[in-house]
Amino acid sequence: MSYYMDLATLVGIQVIAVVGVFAISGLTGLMSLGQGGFMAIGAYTAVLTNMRLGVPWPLAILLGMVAVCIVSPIVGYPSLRLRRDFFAIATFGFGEAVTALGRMFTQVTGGTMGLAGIPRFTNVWIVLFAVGATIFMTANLKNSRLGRNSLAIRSDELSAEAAGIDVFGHKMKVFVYGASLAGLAGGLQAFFIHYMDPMIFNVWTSVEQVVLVYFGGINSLTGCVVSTLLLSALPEAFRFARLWRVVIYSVFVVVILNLRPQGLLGDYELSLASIRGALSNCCRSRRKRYTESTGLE
Amino acid sequence: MMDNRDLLRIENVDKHFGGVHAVAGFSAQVGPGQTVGLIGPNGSGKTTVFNLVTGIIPVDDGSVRFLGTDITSWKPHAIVRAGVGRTFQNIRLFHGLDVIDNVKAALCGGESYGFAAALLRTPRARRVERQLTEKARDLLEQVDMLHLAEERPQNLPYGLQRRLEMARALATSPRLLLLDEPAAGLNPSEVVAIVDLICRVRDRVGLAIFLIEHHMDVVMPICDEVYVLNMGRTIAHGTPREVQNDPAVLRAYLGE
Repeated sequence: MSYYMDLATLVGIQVIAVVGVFAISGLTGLMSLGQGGFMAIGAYTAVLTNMRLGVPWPLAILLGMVAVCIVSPIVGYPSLRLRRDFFAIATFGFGEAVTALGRMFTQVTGGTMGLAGIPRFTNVWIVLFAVGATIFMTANLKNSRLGRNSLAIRSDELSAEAAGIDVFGHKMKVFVYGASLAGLAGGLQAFFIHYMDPMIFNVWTSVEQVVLVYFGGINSLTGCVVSTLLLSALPEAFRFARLWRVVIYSVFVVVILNLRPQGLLGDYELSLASIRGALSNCCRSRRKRYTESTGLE
Repeated sequence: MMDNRDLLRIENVDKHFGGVHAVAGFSAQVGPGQTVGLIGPNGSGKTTVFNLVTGIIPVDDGSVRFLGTDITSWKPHAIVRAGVGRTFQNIRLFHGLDVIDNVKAALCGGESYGFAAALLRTPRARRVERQLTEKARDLLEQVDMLHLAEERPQNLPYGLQRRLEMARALATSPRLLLLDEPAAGLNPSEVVAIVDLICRVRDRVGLAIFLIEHHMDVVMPICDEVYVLNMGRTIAHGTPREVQNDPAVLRAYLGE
């Protein structure tokens, strides 16, 4: 049982990070490859303030998010002015720089030896609460004025400017929001796995999160949550085929991206209205079948 | 200092692209409620003038003043919010948004709400959203497109896309509207409809219009004044009738 609890906790943490990427890459169309770097900043700030300074862990995680909110505008200020492909490269460089710095400042981070003996505070309930809050806020964001601006910018930046949208300012807000979710995920993870080194949050962390968003469908928050649940659990399900796990995972991703370029769920969002719609459709078709087979209303 | 002619005042604006002198010392004024045309052969720098006025490309030299304020080095979105709306020659709608959201995205002015309010979906955010929807429906009504509110713009016929772009420009509550070839690619009956629409919105809100157009049947009836550009230089300026018979204009269009 506790194995499944642990798996659920780790998958939940991944969902938080991926929802952050959804806001940046899905809604706004910015390919950020530096999310791993923000997870690392959140994680190290949380762990170090807790272990060295004795800050209580919830506050420590919050401090990790604050640190990300300070660093991300510094990363965004020059890089968000670049063309989208260059932005991806710039954020990739940032992620790598964080890893390199983590390895260099051995006294603070433990370098490649890592930090061991981190207390465990995170549990499945805390993570579930954080996941709920994250999804709630991001769904609201998508359905608000700001979500509209994001989609407008993704569709056509020049036109968005002509519609009076402050493109740079808006990108910055979304970037900081998504990065702070990565910081939250990093903090939660650090207080869960007892051990941390700078290589845990490498570029593959960032790449995988972007893949998950594209896999689920860049227009669908539901899609990116489903794809995270599916693809994070999948490697576990194929644990018996250890060597082939990565191959199976990759084939799965390639097949979806080729056969369904709009992603697994496309534009679909799970909501009360959509459930009601599906139910009434189902009832209607059943009634129709009944009418046809019996000739009675 | 602001006289009646000073809604938009362009003074000696210059722009080079490499060795090409795209706009050479262009000056023009648009007064409140006035409709001014900008015509000229292809490649004469008309759209460049619009891009300079709206801040999309930086001005090399000269100045652009709007309502007496120097807006020469302003960001494009700030110029829009100051009251200069525009449409594009090649229609640029938001394909990721449906028709009504295309208009809502452009609604400026009035109440708004911030990032935190959006995340928490506060009562204020909900109220403002309802107001925005109301306003957007109003604007769609004005261009007779309310019944298409839920469609995606890329699925609409060309003429309707032009109308929608107009509605989106009006959503920014402009004092001055820059229209870049609003009748390009339209069939004769659609041209009549768009001219009618332009006149209607202009007269309703006392909007000033600065427009680029090739169709003389658009320029002649609605423009008070026309500037003629050729190779980045103004070669004529006057009423449509004066300009039409100007020898320099005929030379530019028809050759020697």
